[in-house]
Amino acid sequence: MKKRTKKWLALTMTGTMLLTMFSGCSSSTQAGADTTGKNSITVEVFDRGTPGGSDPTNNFYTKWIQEKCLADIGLEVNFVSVPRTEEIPRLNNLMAAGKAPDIAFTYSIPTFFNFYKNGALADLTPYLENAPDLVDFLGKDVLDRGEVEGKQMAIPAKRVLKGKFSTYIRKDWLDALNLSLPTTTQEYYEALVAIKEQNPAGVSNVIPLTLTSDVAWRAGPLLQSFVKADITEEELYVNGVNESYMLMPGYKEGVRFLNKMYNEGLIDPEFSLYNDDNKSDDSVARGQTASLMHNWDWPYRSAPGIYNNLVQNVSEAELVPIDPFDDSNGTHRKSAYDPSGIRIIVPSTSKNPEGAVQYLNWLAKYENRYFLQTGVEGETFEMVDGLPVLKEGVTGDKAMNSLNNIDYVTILNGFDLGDEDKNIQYAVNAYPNASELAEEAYHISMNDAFYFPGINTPIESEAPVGSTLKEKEKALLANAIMAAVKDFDKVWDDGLQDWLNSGAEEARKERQQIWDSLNK
Amino acid sequence: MKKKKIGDWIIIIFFFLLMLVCLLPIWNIAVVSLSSTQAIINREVSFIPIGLNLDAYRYIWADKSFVQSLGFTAVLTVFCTVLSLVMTILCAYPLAQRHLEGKKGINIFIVLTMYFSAGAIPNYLLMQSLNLLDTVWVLIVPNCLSVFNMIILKSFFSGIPESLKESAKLDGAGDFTILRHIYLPLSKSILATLALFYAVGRWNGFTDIAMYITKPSYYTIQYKLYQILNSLTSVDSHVEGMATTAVTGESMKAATVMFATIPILIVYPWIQKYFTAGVTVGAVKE
Amino acid sequence: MKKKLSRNLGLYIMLILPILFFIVFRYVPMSNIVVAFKDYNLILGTWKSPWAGFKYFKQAFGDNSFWNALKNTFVLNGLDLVIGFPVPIILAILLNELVSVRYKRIVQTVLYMPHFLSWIIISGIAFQIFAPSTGLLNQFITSFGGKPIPFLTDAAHWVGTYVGLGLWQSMGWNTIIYLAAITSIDPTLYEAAEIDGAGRFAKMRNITLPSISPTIITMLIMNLGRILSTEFDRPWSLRNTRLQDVADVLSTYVYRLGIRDNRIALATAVGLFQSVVCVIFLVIANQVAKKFGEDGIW
Repeated sequence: MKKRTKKWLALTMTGTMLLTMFSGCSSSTQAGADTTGKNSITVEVFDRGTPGGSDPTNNFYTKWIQEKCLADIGLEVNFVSVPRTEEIPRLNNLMAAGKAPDIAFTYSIPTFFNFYKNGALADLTPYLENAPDLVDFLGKDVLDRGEVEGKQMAIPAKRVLKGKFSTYIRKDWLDALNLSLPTTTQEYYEALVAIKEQNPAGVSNVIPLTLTSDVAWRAGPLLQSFVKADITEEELYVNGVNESYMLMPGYKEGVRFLNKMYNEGLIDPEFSLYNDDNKSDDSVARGQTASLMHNWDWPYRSAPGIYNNLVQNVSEAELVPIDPFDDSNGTHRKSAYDPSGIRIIVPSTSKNPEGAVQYLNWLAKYENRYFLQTGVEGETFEMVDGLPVLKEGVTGDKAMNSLNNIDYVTILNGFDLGDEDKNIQYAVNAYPNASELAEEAYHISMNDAFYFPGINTPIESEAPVGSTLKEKEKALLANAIMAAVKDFDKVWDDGLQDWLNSGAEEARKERQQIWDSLNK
Repeated sequence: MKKKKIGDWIIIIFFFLLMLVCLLPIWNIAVVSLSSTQAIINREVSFIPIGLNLDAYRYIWADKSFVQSLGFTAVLTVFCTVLSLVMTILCAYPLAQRHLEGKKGINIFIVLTMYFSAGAIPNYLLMQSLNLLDTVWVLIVPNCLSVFNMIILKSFFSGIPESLKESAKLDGAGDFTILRHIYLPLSKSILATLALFYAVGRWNGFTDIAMYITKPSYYTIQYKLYQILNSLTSVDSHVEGMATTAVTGESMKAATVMFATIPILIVYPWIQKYFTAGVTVGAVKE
Repeated sequence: MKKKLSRNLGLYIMLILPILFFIVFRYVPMSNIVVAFKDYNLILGTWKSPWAGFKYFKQAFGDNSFWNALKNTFVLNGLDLVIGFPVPIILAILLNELVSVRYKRIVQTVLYMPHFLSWIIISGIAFQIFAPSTGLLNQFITSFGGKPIPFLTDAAHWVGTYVGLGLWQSMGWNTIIYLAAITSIDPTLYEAAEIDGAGRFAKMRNITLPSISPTIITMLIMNLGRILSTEFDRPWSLRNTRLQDVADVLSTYVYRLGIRDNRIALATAVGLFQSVVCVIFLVIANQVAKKFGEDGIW
């Protein structure tokens, strides 16, 4: 027995040693270090867990920020990492513990309003007076998005490129059928019918249009073109319950159109099973699908990307952007992104809200953000035709965990060279094999683009039912599209009524009240 | 005699088919991890790697954090299992004794904790006030005693005949001695089972890391896998509106799955021999 | 009295650490259950947040989705129990019949493998096999001229697929506890039975089953107490937009409301409701077991 005890003791000691050895492997900056007397802040940074990335709280960029910020404005900066996928629960935890970093942020508007109602946010209005660079850079439009009841409760990020949607089609198939690129909805429809019937490339199970269970997004341009073109701001705002278009005049006809297309075999029959974009993307990449609708640069994103994969599989494939869906005025209206992005917040428990705003002001200066977003010439980017182009596949300490380091330059969603054309050029240069196509796609996305009214009043009755309404909307759209043609009206009307009864009607009424009170 | 033979064969074949059903999907993952992305998109891959491609594995191996995480998870698992077993034994043995005063109350006190949980924020606040956040101990202590496992051990202990204990007591043995010299040796198979449950639980578990850990050196291998597999939902990536995250290829995802799962599958057969520890002399069911 | 105490002193000493553990890591934070009755404010914290009475319970009970989720949780967990509970027991008994130790070990190792896969992976594989037109199984069926089976798209079939996949993942792993119990059976019992001329099934019925019945009863009671369990990964990965009527369960409901919509008090209220119902089932199951002369959990 003594022998056994000795063995266990030895095991325990070895175990403890190994444990401490492994855990002491890397060091990271102390979270929430309160160096008394010093002007210091803690800043949240997303941990995206990308393989081959750098340590988000301790890499080339964080060190650069810490050095330069201290030298420029005497501010000590420390970073706290939050996993991107656990963003909301983590922030909740930190807030509840009173340990939230001085600079935090969230994409979730319900979370933002929740914090606001709980009194968890600091009022930043007084500090903006000393932050001229920040105010200039963001502009009134963007800053207004962060105001609640007259007070600046968040600093929204500025979105550089506001274009959202583009439609794509296989031009090589159209050529084989002697069809030109469609410029109207009717032509688009006829093109898809022809592709289905004649199947020029002889693809098995050819899919004319691919969708996913997120129909409102994947058929956005088409559906929105059915909404009456002369719609007023008021109608947009009041009917836009939970960012849905279902109550907009005309939308139902768009869904009916999709229903007709589905029943004619023009839509992927398994679309309602796709909970994400992967299978839909794959169907394009392997050459099975003729057309898709998504972000203007979706086919080119995430190397190799759909476009590159497609061309590798089918060398003669030509996936080109088109803008066919014409509305009641003959224009091609489609929604674009709000000029603001992420909401940057300072907790009410922060000991240095002034320092936090000063940090953002420092970030707004061109030379600072330019450096953070490009890095070191030759190592992280190259100059091509007077514009920086990020290098791909950079690993190690200088790896950018997010494109253009927007995780650090949180006030910016995108890369800003100060000039709209240069910005577009820069963005499409990131897709070297298809930069011209990408540029065309971007112009399409901004063509006849309209914006949702940026009214930043919390809608009390809408926040609690947001997810429920979204799920019901998805189910309704899928069911309506897959119903038999004769059943469409019943399925749509019943489903819409159920959606309204689940809180949407109340939210709509509240929106009307808010609109009326703001427009007396 | 003949009847037995056919029955034996039926059972053998039955298990063979069952094995196929369990094995084939996993074989498919292994094959995908070795195939080229193109072949995967084209749905060419089923049971043989197409476009043999070791890139994913090379990438994982080169990324030091994976190997480090593997090592850390292994050591952590061993540590946790040992601690958990000790705690479970200390808890189960007294509760298995018929004559313990207040046994019922203590049992209810413990069992209720399986059903009423505090929620994420209160647990977080507790760890914070105990200064356990971002330490290795937060992964070891808060879940070191599973009520489920304890009940199993307790049931097993209560099945051991009182007579053995009584005769030891007559010889002047105290409870600790009885536990060590009589109960534990008889419980090898059940202790091995519980050790396996605890080890696998710790190996596979990642929610506590998601909640309490920010230091990458404390990420277990399953947490790293979870980060890779859990790409942003469509809603979130639409909101971000730009190509912020690189989407991991199917091959890479599959390789990470294999990387996280293979170690346990290798270790398991080695532990198996403890399960076949038979019954020691004298333990006859009364 | 003194004798009893000194008799049990050693036992109480053993219990000190475990009880301390439960108090610190389970009961201390558990006091936060009161959040279910409050308008929880992150900044004010649990104790300073204003009382809300049964407001959130009323909200939950007034929500159709809640009742739908509750119904589905009962149905799916109930099916899991009815179908998934006996299978590991049968497998364990059959495994015990294998003569070759080597083969038995191989079978065990392979059967445990699915347990290690996360549901994200399993759902991906399930789609490849069961999809209505591109799924391997349906392609196989249609190539023989049959009609494709809507494993994932029709409500009743979806439920079957859900339960079946759960069974696939856990049946092997769940045999472990029963196998451990079987190895503790005295082999002389079997030898004696053989001498008496007992066949395979007679031995199973009269020796194996009764010997492991305490284990079976214990596991049954615990599983009944999990009737409203909060398993999240499986229903989330297999979710289907159009089948929410059968696919949405309490765990996914709470996820949407509690985390996505940040309604902490409501999530806590639903969680409390689940716990209370589970405990009721647990108590009933325990009492019933005792009535039949078996050892309960307490």
